Amino acid sequence: MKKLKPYFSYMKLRMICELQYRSAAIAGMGTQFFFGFIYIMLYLAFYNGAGSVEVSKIPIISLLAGPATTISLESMVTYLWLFQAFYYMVIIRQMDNELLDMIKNGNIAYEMCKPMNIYFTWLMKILSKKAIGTLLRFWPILLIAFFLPEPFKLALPNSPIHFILFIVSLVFALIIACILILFIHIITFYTLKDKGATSLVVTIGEIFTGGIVPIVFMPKALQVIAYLLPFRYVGDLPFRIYNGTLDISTSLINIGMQIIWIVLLGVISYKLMNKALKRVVVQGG
Amino acid sequence: MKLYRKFLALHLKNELEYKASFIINFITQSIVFFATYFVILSLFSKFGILKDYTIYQILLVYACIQFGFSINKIFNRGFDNFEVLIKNGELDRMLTRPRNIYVQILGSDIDYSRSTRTIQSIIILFIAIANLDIVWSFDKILTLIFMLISSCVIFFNIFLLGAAFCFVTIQGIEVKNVFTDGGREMAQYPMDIYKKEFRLFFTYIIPFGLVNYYPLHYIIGKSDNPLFIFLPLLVFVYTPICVLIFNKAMKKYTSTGS
Repeated sequence: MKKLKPYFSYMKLRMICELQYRSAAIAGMGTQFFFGFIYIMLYLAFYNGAGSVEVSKIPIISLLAGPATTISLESMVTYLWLFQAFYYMVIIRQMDNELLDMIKNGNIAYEMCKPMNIYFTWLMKILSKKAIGTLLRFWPILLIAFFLPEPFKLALPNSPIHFILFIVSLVFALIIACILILFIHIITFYTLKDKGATSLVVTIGEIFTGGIVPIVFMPKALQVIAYLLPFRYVGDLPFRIYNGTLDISTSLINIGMQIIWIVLLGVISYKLMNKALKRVVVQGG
Repeated sequence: MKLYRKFLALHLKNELEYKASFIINFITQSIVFFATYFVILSLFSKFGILKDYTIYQILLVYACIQFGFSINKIFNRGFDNFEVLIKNGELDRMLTRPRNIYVQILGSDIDYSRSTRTIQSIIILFIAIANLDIVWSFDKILTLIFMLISSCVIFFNIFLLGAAFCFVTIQGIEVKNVFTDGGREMAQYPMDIYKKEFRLFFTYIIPFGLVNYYPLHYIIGKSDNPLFIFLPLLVFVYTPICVLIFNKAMKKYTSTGS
């Protein structure tokens, strides 16, 4: 535990730094509300009076996707509000310029001289930014959305158990999102000037995190791809647990998958970073 | 001989690296293309119809709005990123020069790399037209041209207003984003799918409705009111108003002695 202390102090430091951007957070919320309303109205138009929409079972992925179900308009509205409220948490298009500079011009050598592990230091930096940013932004949106008139209203979670599972999956989602961002930064060790690879990962990630289109509404082939990728565990999963369109056993299986992805992504990105850092040392940096 | 082989390997590696980068960039561009239209394609594959619009009708207006927005992203970056010009003092430098400030701001940043979005929108426009059952007479072609032009002009107005807002507050960036990105997201679908109050605001105050509703209905045959052909041009009326607002804001800025 003593070993972890410097990482926690660093995280605390970063969080205090991030609090300085409070006013930007407040301004940003207007945007989230606007987009929330637009997308809700879009779905209202698509539903066109129907109370709910059928979603069929896809056998290959049914272990994770659950059985055939219906997505009610209310649960769709809830999903959209959650996405807007936690937007800052689910985005992986969040490159840290300080870290990118270090990678590109070799100042990382200074970081390597410090007694703290770079991987976890950087993870703490990304984590504290996301955590504070999310905490500042999510609650006003949820609060106001809760008191909106039908059909714009944010609904309560289906049951206390669903709510607890939601919180758990949300925390894991945050961790996965941060590891993914760090992963993308680590890729730049290898691709340097070429922004193509990272842009590719981010764009694919944005599609398969869910968002405007939940994964259940995607064409079948894309749904299968979505379940092979880690991105849906960042947004689509926790919000579907909340709005009750996933039953408890399926939710638990998915939370298990979140843990697996955290370990998998963590190990791979850690190894990739070490490999890249070794190269820095070898080149006499 | 060994040296020559090493040279061969070196040049081959060079070629491959360039190719790999090219391929990845090409794939990325295609996926970004797909991502831009992903929402509409997905939802139509699920729901089949939006109110009483088919997918190609929606794609027509979607592409027109994307076109206008992307043109502004290429040529109008000066006003789009106006807060940067204020912050780094470039605006002050521009004001001291004996040339028209608008020309300077517009000329300060032109980003041709954004043209891929424009090309994509034109491709989608052709796909939509190819799949729509429209008898293309002169008046309908004119309407489409007006739609495209007014799409460019309305976003120009909004970028200009957004820049004027930057004089008032730096946090105005977020408000500007609501109407540029938010405006685009919203205007991609015809105005009548939204609720009444929204619709009214965005038809009369920020006249997206003039661009994405009336001319669309004329083209797809839902209406044959010839007035609709020319309604998109009303966005030009808003331009001098926006210019006035920007000039007034800039006067106030310069008078505070910066």
